[in-house]
Order: sequence, then structure tokens, then C-alpha cells
Amino acid sequence: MLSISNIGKTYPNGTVALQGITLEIGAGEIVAVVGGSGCGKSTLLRLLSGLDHPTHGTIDVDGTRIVAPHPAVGIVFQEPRLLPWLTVERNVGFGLEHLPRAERRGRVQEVLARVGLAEYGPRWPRELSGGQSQRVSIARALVTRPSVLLLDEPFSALDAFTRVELQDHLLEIWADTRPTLVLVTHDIEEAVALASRVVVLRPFPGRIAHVTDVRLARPRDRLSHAFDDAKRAILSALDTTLSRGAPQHDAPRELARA
Amino acid sequence: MPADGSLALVARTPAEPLRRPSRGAGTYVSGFAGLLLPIVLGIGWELAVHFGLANGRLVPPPSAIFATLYDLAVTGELYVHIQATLLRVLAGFITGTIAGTLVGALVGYLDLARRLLDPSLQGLRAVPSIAWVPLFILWFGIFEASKVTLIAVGVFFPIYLGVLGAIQSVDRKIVEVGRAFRLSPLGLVRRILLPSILPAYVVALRGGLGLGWMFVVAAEFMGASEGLGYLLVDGQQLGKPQQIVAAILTFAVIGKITDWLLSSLTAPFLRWQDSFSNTR
Repeated sequence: MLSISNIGKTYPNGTVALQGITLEIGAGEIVAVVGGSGCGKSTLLRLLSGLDHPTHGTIDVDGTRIVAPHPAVGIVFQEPRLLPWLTVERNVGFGLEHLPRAERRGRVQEVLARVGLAEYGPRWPRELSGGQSQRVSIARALVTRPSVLLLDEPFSALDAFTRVELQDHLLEIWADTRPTLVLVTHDIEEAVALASRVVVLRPFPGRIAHVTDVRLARPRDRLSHAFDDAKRAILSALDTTLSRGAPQHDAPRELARA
Repeated sequence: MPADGSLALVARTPAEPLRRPSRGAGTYVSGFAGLLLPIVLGIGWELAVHFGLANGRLVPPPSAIFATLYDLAVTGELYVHIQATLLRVLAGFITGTIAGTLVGALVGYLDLARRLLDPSLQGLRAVPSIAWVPLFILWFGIFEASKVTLIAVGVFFPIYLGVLGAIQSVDRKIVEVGRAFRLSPLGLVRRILLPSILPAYVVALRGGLGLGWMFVVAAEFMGASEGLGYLLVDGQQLGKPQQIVAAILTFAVIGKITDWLLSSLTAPFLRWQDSFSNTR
């Protein structure tokens, strides 16, 4: 259970990135956060991970207040961020240094097999493709068995085929142990394919504009009408946030100047 | 037909990389190609002097140089000089490396230290290190201490700059991975910062060692009774160019060997690098 209670983030330069965000995310839920650029969705994820601190408000995971990175919360970044000087298996085992070697090995092997890279343990990160690297990065986050996994646009740098493949893969992994997933994305199809709830943020300052439940049975058929309808619903919610956003007049003014 | 030979050697290389560990064979071939020019020039000069086209008094032919080297070697004199020089470089290199690493790490890691120390150090760096010689002689005397200090100063700056630059260019995103896994400050240094600065550090060490060899000559010019630099001065004063060239050759060989040692000792730690040299 992840409770976000009235958090706000103001940067030292005065920019209000987030304001009044309150959200309850149940255990095992998949929540997608979507919004235009600059709406603070990545900031929100950084706050949840404990890498950054909210200016006010609180975040609790299973009753524990998050003030710094917490073992129950794993994070997958937009880029794989593998450590190039460690082999794949040592990258995955990075957060398990405190465990005895044999146990660490076993858990790394298990999770590598889970992401379909069982044979890749001794490889170097430079030998992996983009999709494989991101799988390793997911494995690294999963190996500590977090109850909440945060994903910051994890598939945005991948090609369309690999992206769909990894989305399906993420769902399989989720089905295993059912961690809570919070996924930041700008891809509405991705949000609808994965999430049980989609949170639409509105920029300037970042706040929640809309929350939509996605009531589609899993596995979801991306070609079905119901899927299209869900996409359309979120798209229209997103549209209202964009057209009512503060910088709406910027574009024409810019054109006029040019 | 040296030209034909070189063509044949070059032509073989493109086929070679098909086998995976092609590096051994590749260096072997290019090593030979690199030797070609000095060998051809040497033989040419030797023949020119031999047939009286040039007198070779100021520019000694290879045979005279090797004869000098041989004489120095059989009397054991060469080893005394090599040892003296090598020990000076080693002592200066180690001192300069330790100081450069510590100060570089401090200045790179702590913002306050950077603001306090870096401007002064950059100022000192602008002083040609040879300019310190008179002062060092006054302070440390004419013997080993002043020589080692001069070499250490020469080694210090490239290593200081290398460590400083490496720390400042550590990828913030990778540091964040360490934070996400709740590493302690010490763990962050050991598991993230040190490995990520290692490649730049090795480059800095090699640069430092090169300067160490440069400064040992300057140090030995300021009065030494042994060492390869002494051989240079001695050769000049007694009008023995072959001894000067012999000493220069020895410098080249030993400098190259120490550099090779350094890079091969550190190579196992850098196997992970996704660099041009690893993709070939």
C-alpha cells in the first residue's frame, strides 16, 4: 500500500513542480502516470523513490514513511544505467552485497531467468542491446524483491516491437509476485495496456487532473474496440489538461515573433 | 625490398580481425611495420658513413652507438646508471602519484576544497617545473632529495588534473543508482566513484610517468654522478655523441617498458570498457 498525501515540490529556483498530489495505491495495483512534458511526472516518481524530498506532504509505503531510498521500493530508470565495469550478473546482484555469495548467486540467476536472460550473466553491459539492457535493469530492481516498483518511462528509448515485448514481459513478471507498479509514461497505449488505473497530470504546477480506471480483462487485446475506447478516454482527458494549461498562448506568440 | 615487405604486412591485417582475439596478431604485424622506418634510416646512415659519404663524427652510425652500449653494458656501468635513474623516477613517481591522487580526490569531491585549493594549484601548474630547480637545490641540497622532489612535482600535476577531471565527470545518473541502493558514502566511493574514474586515472598515471621520465633528465642535469642523465651530460662534455645517443636509446627503451608495464598491469581492470580499442 502506497499512500501519497498532499505532497508538493517546489524547486529552489521557485518552480512549483508538483502541488497537492494525493493518491492511494493498493498493493499489487498497476498505476500509470501520464501527462505532457513538464507536468512533474518524473518528479513525482523521484519523490516516491526517496531520491528527492517533497517540499511538503508525506509518502508512506506499508506504513513506513519514505524520506530516503527504501529497500521496499525499487526503481527502473528511463535509461538502463547499468554499471559498465560489472558483468550482467554482478549488476543484477548490486543491491544484494549484504547476502552470502551462494544466496546472491541463486537469486541473481533466478531473476535473470525471469527476464529471459539466463545465459547472459557473464556478459558485459556493452555487449547487450537496448532492450536487453533494460531487462537487466528491471532484473536489478526486482532482485531485492521490492513491494513497490517504480518505472520512469522505462521503454521510451526502445523501438516499437521491443517495447510491446517488454510491456508484456513486465506483466508476466508482475503476475508472479504482484508488486505494486507505478509507471510514468507518455505513451497512452502503454498506459492502457498495463495499468489498472491511469493518473493524468496537468502542468504548471503539476497536479492531478484526472484519474481513470481501466476495466479491461487481462491479457488485454490491443486491437479491441474496448482498448481503443480506453485510449480515447485518456487522450481526451489529456487534451483538456493541455488546452487549459498555462503556456497555451506561448505557441502562437512564438509564431508571431518568427 | 622493404617497400614490398611492408605492403604485404599491411595487406594481411584486414583478414586477421575475423578471428576473434585478433589483437595479438595485429600488434605483432603493426609492431614490425613501425620498426621499418628506423631500421631503414639506420642502415642507410651506416652505409653512408661506411662508404665515406658522411663522416659520422657528430651523428654517429648505429654500429658506434651499439659498440658504446655494449662497452657500457659489459663493464656493468650501464646498469648502475639505469638503476640510479630508475630509482629516482620510481621514488618521484610514487610520491607524486600519492600526492596528486589525494589532492585531486579531495578537490574533486569537496566543493570547498576546490574553491580554496584549485586556483593556487592551477597557478603553480603554470610555473615551468624546471624553474623550481634552484629553489629545490637550496632547500633540499644537491643530492637525491631535490631530484626526487622535482620529479614528484612533475608527476603531481597530470595526476592531480586527471583525478580532478575524472571525479567531476562521473555520471550523475550512475551515482544515483548507488543512492537508490542506499550505499553509504564510503560504499559510494568504493563501488561507484573509484571504478568510474579508473580509466581516466590510468591515462593520468601514464601521463604522469611520462613526465617523470622527462623530469629525471632535468634533475640529473643539475648535477649527478650517475644516472642516464649524467651519461648525457658526460657525453656532451667529453664530445662523445655516441654515448649521448646510447643514453637516449636507453631512455626510450626503459620508458617504453615502464609504460607498457603500467598499462598491462591496469588492463585487467579495464576490460569492461566499451571503447574503440576493445571493439577491434
